[in-house]
Amino acid sequence: MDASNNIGNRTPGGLSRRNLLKYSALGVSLAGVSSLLAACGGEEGAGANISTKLLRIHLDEDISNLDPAFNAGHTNTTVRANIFEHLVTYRPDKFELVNELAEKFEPSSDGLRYDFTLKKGIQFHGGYGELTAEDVKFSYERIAGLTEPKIKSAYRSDWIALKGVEVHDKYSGTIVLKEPFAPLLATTLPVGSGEIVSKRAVEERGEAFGTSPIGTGPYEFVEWKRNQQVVLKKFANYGGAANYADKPLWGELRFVVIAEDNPTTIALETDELDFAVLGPTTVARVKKNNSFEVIEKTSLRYNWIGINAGHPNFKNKDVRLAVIHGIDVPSIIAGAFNGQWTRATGIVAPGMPIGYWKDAPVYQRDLAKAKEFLAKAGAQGMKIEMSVSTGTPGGAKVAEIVQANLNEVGFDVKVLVQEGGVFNQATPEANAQKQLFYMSYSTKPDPSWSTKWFTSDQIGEWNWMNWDNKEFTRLHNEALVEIDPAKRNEMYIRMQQLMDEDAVALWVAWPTASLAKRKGLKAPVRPDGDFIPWTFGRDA
Amino acid sequence: MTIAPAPDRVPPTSAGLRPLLGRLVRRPAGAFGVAVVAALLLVAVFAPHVVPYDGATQDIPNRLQGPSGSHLLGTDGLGRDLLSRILLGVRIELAVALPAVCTSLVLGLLLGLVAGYRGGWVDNAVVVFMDTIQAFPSVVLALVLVAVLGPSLTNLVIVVAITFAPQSARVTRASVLALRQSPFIEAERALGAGTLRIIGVHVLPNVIAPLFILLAMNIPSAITVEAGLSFLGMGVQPPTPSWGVILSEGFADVYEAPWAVLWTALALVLTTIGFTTLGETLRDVSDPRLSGAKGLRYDR
Amino acid sequence: MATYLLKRLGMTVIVVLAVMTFLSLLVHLVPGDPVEIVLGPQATPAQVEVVRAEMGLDNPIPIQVWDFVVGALQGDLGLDFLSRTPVTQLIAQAIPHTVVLAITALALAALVGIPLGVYAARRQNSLADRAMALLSIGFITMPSYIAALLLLIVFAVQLDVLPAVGTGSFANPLDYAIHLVLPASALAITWIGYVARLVRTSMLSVLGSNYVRTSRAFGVRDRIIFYKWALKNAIIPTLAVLSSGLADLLGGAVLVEIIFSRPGLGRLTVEAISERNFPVVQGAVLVIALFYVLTNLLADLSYRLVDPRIRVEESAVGA
Repeated sequence: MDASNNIGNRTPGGLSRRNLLKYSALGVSLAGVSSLLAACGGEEGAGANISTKLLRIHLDEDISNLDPAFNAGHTNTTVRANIFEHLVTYRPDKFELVNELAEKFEPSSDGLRYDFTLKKGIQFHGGYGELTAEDVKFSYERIAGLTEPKIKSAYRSDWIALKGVEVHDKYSGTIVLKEPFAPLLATTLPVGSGEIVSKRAVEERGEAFGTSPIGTGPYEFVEWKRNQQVVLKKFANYGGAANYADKPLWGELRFVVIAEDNPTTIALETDELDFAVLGPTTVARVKKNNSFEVIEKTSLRYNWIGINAGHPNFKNKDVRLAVIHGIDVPSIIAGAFNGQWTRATGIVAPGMPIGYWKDAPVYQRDLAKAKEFLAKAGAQGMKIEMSVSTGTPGGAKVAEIVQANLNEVGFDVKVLVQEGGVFNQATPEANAQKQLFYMSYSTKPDPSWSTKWFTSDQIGEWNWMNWDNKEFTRLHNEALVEIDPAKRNEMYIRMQQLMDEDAVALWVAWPTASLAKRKGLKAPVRPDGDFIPWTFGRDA
Repeated sequence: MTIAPAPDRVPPTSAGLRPLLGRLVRRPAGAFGVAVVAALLLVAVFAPHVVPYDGATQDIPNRLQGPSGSHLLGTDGLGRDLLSRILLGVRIELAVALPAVCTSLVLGLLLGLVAGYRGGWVDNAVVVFMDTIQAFPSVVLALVLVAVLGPSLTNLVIVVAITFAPQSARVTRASVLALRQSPFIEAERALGAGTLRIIGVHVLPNVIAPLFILLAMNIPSAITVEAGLSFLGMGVQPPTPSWGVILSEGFADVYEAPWAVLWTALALVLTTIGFTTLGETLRDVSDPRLSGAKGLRYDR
Repeated sequence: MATYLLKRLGMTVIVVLAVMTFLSLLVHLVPGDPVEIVLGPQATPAQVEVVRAEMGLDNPIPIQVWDFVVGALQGDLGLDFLSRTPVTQLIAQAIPHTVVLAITALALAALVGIPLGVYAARRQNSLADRAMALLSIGFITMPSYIAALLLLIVFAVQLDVLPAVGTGSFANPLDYAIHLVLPASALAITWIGYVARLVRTSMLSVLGSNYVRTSRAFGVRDRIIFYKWALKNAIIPTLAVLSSGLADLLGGAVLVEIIFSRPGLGRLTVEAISERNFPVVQGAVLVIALFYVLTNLLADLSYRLVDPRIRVEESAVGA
């Protein structure tokens, strides 16, 4: 069952395994033939073996909607990044802002006004004409809920400070804020909520825009086959705004949907993918395969075990402390994630530009202490529930380890493995029933994106701990309008201390983003594991 | 679709049970089926006392081990002993399959008796009801019902019982219809026997025999449905060592350690073969006319 | 016959309506608020009301059922909750993959199963026959997803000769066919066992009958008896079983499609159930159920045409 017999995948000259299968007579050992060919081919000039006609990228879940205002899930983002552009964005390989659609982009010193001038002659896909300042205004005000018909974007908080966009002429305008908004340049403008759509296309297409998007990016949308693939093709009239990267190389970008980890690995081995997102259990296997290289980055995502402080079982802090001291996090990382992921000690990962709490406590399992807390609360033998989603990789194992650990402490734990549609309901009723849960939130390179889900007004929505801390909420709101990074850093550390004091969560892991790329493929990846497929190239 | 038994069938005598068992084990297939089923029942009863480990204790440093002296079949992703878990799983499988299939048979028997004997609109209503249930493939129906009821062991029993009931209802109904027109029943009726007496004395013994065969045949199907749903995470909840749960957890690690999937698959295959050969031999020795093409409908 | 036909068709229509009713009630049977799924947690009460009205959840339940049935009859199955694309479009994309898979599996079953059955019948009670009997039981009882797991590990991973993920491209038939091999084999295994056994039993029942014995005594050649009478007798039930198998496989392909990551109808259904994406669940399950009901109807009628001895059902329906 090891991967060593897959060395034969290294077929030179673009002769894929399937091509081999086509031409070889039945009964010939195909693995033998291909490894023979591979041996003759050698390794040099690996990049030349990759055809520029087509790049095949793995999506670990299907897309659902390609309208930036109705983003739901990270794979939509991966696809949209090729279709839409921003005024300013991050480089494909680091968190450094560069101009994209903006020729000039100048913030005012008070952080309230952002003047921009667009590059000229930028065309939208599908003959929707030249990009103008009106499109910028429409795109941003639409997410903020300022346009008619009013839409309710889940990402309106990205533009919560927006007063409006003033249009000066065809190519220039000013973004005007009601108050300073620190994340604007970190997690609004350069990423999803900063993407600029064609006003005319949105108005014409209505809801259908989500499945027939029109942007100015180097690739235009061709088709989406549910659970199968998304196809984009090179946009012939591309305006070339993204001059910070090499010119788009691929004739077609094909995104292949494979949800499970093992089939993904198989798809790599059978030459059906050029680039894939790996699960923790399959990384070692792909690393052994000579046709691929694995890129590993500690993501900003955080996985944790939440304790619903609003549930009668966990109102007593001693019970929560018994949980926190009773669970063995290293066992979870070894058992559920093959030891591949970094242990988390807070909501903000070290890779976040600000807000990492270096001195956060690292809880070692202390059975005696946990039992003591449980006894103090008089809650020995308490029946509790631990829920996870079937869609969370390793989730069931996490729940089983927690169950075994806490049963030893003296709890009586029931494991609930729920379907995504049940587990992810974020209604007050559903939240009231949660007790312990294992969850994973993705985030963007500003800590406000991590803290925003745990404020008091998120109770009944995504604050599943039902944690009502006034100081945390106040700090979150203040940090949004604070411009000084040093001060913000302090505030986010303080917020994490508050979470720790109230014992509402046990941080488990900052997952490692493990990405497999075919040898010879040049794939710039951001420090948090995000990538933009069209910027990929070939090694010289 | 059901090809009904010939209308001139005479009722079998109920005295033939012991000779039946004798005839059963005298055939190699029957002996094999009896042996497998008996072994499974023994394991189900005694597994907790004989397994080398309790199947729940985790040993994460020793996860995903291959077969060895201390773990004959290896360990799973959390270092639990696979042999123990698979043996303990027998009890879970039977705890779902037996009550589920028995319930489905009783349900089907009642529906079939009423429909077949009463006829008319009652019969039509029952047929429509059964056809509606059978309009859904069993896995799809089970998935939808689990979504309605929520995943748990008890609910799985209910779901499987509902899914399988129409089949035994059909078998019963067909037997009753055939009997109703048979000369000896008509003679009884002419002699003034009441409905209950006719059903109890003449109809029931005749329709029960095929149901016993269905019992043996449907247990593996029920296990297959359970394991399939649990494989999708929509059945028995971990850490309960149902075979579906072991398969589902093992599939995640199948490249590093195929043992969990391999052993569980083999256990499942052995179990289904055992029950099926038992059922088929039972059918052949009790009523050869039910074999062959007619039996195929019973299997589904 | 005409009365029977009428009754049978009437019953079918009633069953289809019952299926539709059940599906349209699903939204209310399954715990959880469908509007919540459409809008996400950040919706305002006003929005919830708008969507609730748009989805028709405000109407009395009989009206909702009526609307669903009327919509479905006109080919309108509503919009996918998440992507807002028509459900019919999703089904149209998924169904060819599943139908091709099922047909391939049945073809495999016939191609392998019939010769096996014939061979076993010719050599009745030989060692090969007994071995085959054992094998066919093993095949029949093998759940398709277990077969799928084993095939995947052996042929895609260990030997690495066949692709195991996705469908390949429709535009390239060879590529598509190669992607079919493993999943179709996994699905076919049960049916190979069935067909082999069915062919054997039907042939033997003819060979054992009085008139064959008599014919033999009168010197009719073995080959004629064997291939002309016995095989012919075996083909009809085999075809009937295979035709009912088509619908069975449409539903049975669920787990196999998931293991091989094939974007077919079964996978669409399972994912929609998991997401509580009700319009997709309703649409996909309805299509599968319709297939089931219609193929059963056809099989039933064709059975009656070829074998007039089946009268019991008729008298039952006619009673």
